[in-house]
Amino acid sequence: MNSVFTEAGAGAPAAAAPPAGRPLASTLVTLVRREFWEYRVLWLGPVVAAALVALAAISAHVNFDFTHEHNSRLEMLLSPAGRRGVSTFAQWVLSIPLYLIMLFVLSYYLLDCLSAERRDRSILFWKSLPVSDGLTVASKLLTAFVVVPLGVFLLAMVTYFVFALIIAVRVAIGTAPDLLLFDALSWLQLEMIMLGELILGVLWYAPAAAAMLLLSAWVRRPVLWATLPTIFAPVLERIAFGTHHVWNFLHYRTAGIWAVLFHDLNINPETMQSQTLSSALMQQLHFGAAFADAGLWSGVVVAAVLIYATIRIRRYRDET
Amino acid sequence: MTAVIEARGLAKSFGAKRALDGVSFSVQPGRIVGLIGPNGAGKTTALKAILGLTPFSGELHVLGLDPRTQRDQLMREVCFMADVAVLPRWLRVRNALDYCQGVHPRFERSIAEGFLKKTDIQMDSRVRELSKGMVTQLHLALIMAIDARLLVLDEPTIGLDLLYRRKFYDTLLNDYFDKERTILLTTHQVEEVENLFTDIIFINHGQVALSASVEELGERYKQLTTTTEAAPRARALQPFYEREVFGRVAMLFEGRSAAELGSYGELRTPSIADLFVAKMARSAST
Repeated sequence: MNSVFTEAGAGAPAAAAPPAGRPLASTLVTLVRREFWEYRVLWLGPVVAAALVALAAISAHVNFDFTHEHNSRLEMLLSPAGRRGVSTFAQWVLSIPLYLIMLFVLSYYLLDCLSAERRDRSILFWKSLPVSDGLTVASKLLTAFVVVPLGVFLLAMVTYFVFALIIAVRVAIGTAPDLLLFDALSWLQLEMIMLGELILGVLWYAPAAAAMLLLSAWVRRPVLWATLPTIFAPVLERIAFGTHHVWNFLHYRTAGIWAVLFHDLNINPETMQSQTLSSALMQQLHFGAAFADAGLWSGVVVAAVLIYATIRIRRYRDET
Repeated sequence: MTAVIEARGLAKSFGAKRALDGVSFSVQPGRIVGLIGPNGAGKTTALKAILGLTPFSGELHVLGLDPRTQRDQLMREVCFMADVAVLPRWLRVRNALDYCQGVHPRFERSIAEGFLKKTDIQMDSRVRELSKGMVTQLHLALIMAIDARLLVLDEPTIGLDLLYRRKFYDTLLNDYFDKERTILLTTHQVEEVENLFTDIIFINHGQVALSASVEELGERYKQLTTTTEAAPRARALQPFYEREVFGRVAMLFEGRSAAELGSYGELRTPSIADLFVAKMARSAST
């Protein structure tokens, strides 16, 4: 028995070579789970928004004016092509509140995540474990850029189905007009479009997100530093110089890529007579141009630089 | 055996203040080392340097690694507990275990669970629901479950009541410490833990005032308790510190043998607390 222990003990000096870490993927899974323990709003926010949106189907009310006999648009709307279009439209509209909530939740998260650990000094606990600063920041980025957006994308999908199901029940019991016509191809096309928009959005807003993360690691009141300059810099520039470069820049970094994607978008009832709404979008959206946009990729490069700076600051900052 | 910590000429300034001013010391494996000094002496800065938490100049090797450039590797074998409970308040006990298990290659969950079973801590509790003593117990449970070679504790029991403090150090000594492990500990409450230490390092004004093993202290330092009448004669042997208590004089000598001092009164090895007070008083007067 004793010899067993001696052997085990003799094996210990061999451990002088530092032990290998855990597999990167499993460590990252733990780190991302940690983010959801700390920020329950990351999943609670979108889920509550989704529930409200889906439940809106219960009380949704449509008023039709049937007095005009020659309401061709109404006829069009009630035709199979029209009802397919309404379905696609609903599929798109229902996702908007979810993505808006996500935008708020993620902004708060990115501004707070590296600042909270400094405020409560728990950074000393996190840093007492073998997780590098690079990996820590990577886990926050993975959460904000991949896990939450993808989760909201799937949630939006479920929300649409729950909404459609509630409407179908209401149609069956006669409390709602039959406006939705599910079309698998249209549905799939729009999901593809929304996924493309999502990826585009993540890339486009990456520098803004990285800037928030940097503020979070750097300053004492990141929310203030993020909001006040954004609000006052354009105003001050206007007052001081009469120019609006800052405003233009902010506007560009907010909407620029969507201007490229939606350039010359023209969808009217006439186009929808020859094709579905989703295939019209498929045809007219400029995904190629958007993904090849120089502003998009230079933003990604800036984001990478900001992320590198964030890692350095977390590594060497000493204030506790 | 090579030293666990080898520090030479560590220096760091905060503006004009020199937090570390050429600190050199070494820590051997299997020792329990007390890093002792008054507030602002540079203890915490030294610990932070060892843990790679702060930039500094000088030469420092911890387990053969440079904390400045090899921190990630180093933290697989070093455990660290900061001066007050720094576990985040939102963390659940269960998730704290999940987390350590998920990121630490040397975390043994069953040890932490076994330890927590002996406490009143519930797995579903959040840190904010626990008392300060319980948070420290939880942190200790996590540390015990990590097979680390060096444990760094910075005032781990500050703000705890006596029962928790006693339990903390008992657990540390009986269940954690072994010849493979090394503990580096800073504390204000020297008198309470002085039996724990095998080595001490006094640090003051960013400099090492004394660095020795407890055995060496016994050989080097003697405390003589004598009467006020005998005191002047003893004083000729140049005590470096003396004080009067209840009409008797306590003197501390360095490098005097028992034979030299024995005739003047009672001799004993000074306590670490007494030695600390003496050393600090002397460096304050110089």
